[in-house]
Amino acid sequence: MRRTGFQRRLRDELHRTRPPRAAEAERRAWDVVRAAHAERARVGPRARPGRRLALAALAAALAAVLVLSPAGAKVGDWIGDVVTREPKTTPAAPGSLPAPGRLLVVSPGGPWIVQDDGARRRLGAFRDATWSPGGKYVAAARGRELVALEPDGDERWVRPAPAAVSTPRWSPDGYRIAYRSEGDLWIAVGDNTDGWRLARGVAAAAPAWQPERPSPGQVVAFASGRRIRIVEVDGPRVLGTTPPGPAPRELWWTADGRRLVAVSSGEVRVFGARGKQLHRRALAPGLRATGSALDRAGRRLVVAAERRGGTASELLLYRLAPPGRAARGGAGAPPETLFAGSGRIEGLTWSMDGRVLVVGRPDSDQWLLLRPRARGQLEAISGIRRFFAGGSSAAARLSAPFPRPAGWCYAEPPEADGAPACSSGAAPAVPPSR
Amino acid sequence: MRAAQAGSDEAMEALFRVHWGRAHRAAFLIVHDAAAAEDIAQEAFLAAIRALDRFDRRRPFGPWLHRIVVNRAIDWSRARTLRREVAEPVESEAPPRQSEVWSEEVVAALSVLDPDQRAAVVLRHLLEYTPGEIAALLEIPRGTVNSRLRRALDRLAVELAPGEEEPS
Repeated sequence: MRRTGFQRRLRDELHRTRPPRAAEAERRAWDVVRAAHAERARVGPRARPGRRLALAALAAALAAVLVLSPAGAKVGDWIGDVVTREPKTTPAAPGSLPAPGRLLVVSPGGPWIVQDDGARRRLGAFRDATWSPGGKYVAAARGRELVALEPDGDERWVRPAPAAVSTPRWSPDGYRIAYRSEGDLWIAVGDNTDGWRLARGVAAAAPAWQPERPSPGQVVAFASGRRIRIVEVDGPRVLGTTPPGPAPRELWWTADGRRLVAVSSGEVRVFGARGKQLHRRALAPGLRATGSALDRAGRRLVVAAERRGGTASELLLYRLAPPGRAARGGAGAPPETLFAGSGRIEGLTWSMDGRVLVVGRPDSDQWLLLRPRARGQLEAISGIRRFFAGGSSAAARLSAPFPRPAGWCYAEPPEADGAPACSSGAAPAVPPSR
Repeated sequence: MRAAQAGSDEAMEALFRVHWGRAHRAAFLIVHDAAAAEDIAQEAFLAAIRALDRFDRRRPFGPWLHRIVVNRAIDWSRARTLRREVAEPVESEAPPRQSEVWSEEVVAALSVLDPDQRAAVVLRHLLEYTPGEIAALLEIPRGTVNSRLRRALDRLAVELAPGEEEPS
């Protein structure tokens, strides 16, 4: 086959092409190849790789056992003596959570699950954990890996990523997981049989899956530059883009999937399902949003906001319209203040039945339990670091990372409910790099 | 190759430096994904190391490595064919990082081909194998190689023709 002028030009272009960051890739590859070659030379050609793999697997299993905390430590052991009377408190019932279900807790030391009966377990050295919709698994980040865990800490599967993984979020049908890696948004199939990059240049806010709708396909919203994009992932197909605005810290879909709520540092915006802006409400001067949580019914949005410098914080409640009345609902009305106090707020999540809001207060080493329907009834549990970190040294307890409530799960979801049995929502424990 | 088989680091590095660039570039031109291309090329080298003792020194190393690279790249591309990335450009404040470092026009034109056609083009015009050698590498009939190349080049000629409008 003789080469024509076009083919010669094509050949030249192909030879000129260089993959992105080719020099770095070559350096990384040589490090890996050199190590593998050195290992081969050290072990010798007759080494039995199967046996070595078995030994490595055994060592890994032993290491996993060592880092896992013993199951069955009871909340009842600690809750009685950690309840504080400052501020005005009501002791929680010992041995149980303040609402039915299981609570996911995240901290820089790794996620924990607190069971309905009060037992707690650390899952390992992971970041940014999130429930699967049915509560059977937890997705979490470990360096450049996305890991699916069973609630007892066993690793179901591991998916490598090109860079550090953050903010995984499971789709409502359980078949997809969206996560960020080096500023790109990736989708993994829920059983780890496939994965693909959905978009580049994605902002730090966690992606938000639209609750299941009659139309086929799963839809995710994510921040990109100054806009939020709404994309059907399997096409993929861009369904909508919002007008430009401040970068959101957190994104939420209402339970009916008709409204998308974006919480940024200075305002709350509500959009339609295709990105049309419906409402916008700025926070009061001097306040800066640091977190938020939307209840399972999608009607009550609580925003945590701090005064400049984090010397004081408030919890602001925005009431959204009930499902089916999207056009009139939103964050247009002024919020009501649920709580105001000293220090910062880190992590807040609603119980699945919507009766209790759990709020982390690291400066006081407390979790607040708010019951907005019970005229704002407030309880506080202190000594949170001690409970999760263990140990007897007061200094060690004070320096331990603060565990933040990050999501709740029904032990048994209501029949014919249709909505996910678990919630996820806390911002990542460590802000992503982009 | 003999020295590398005997465990020489220098020989292994020489082998790596000679072959890495083309293997990496070939993978990238087929999969159009930098991370995947790096993984595929790296895995091919690791497979080579695992099989180093069994390697027949009378045969050239390059074709053997390229066969692994191209087959893995085709498999990877097929797996994601139905799940392309969002095509809409991202915001101007977050420009795509790749546009500065490779020939966007040619790579974009290659992306309209199916993975088998891309592999044929890469093997023929980047790695410079003859159609007969490509047939042997991919274990397919030579006629199939020729037809893939012909269809691919026809399509590329349309895509790269100056002044023509982009297909919708």
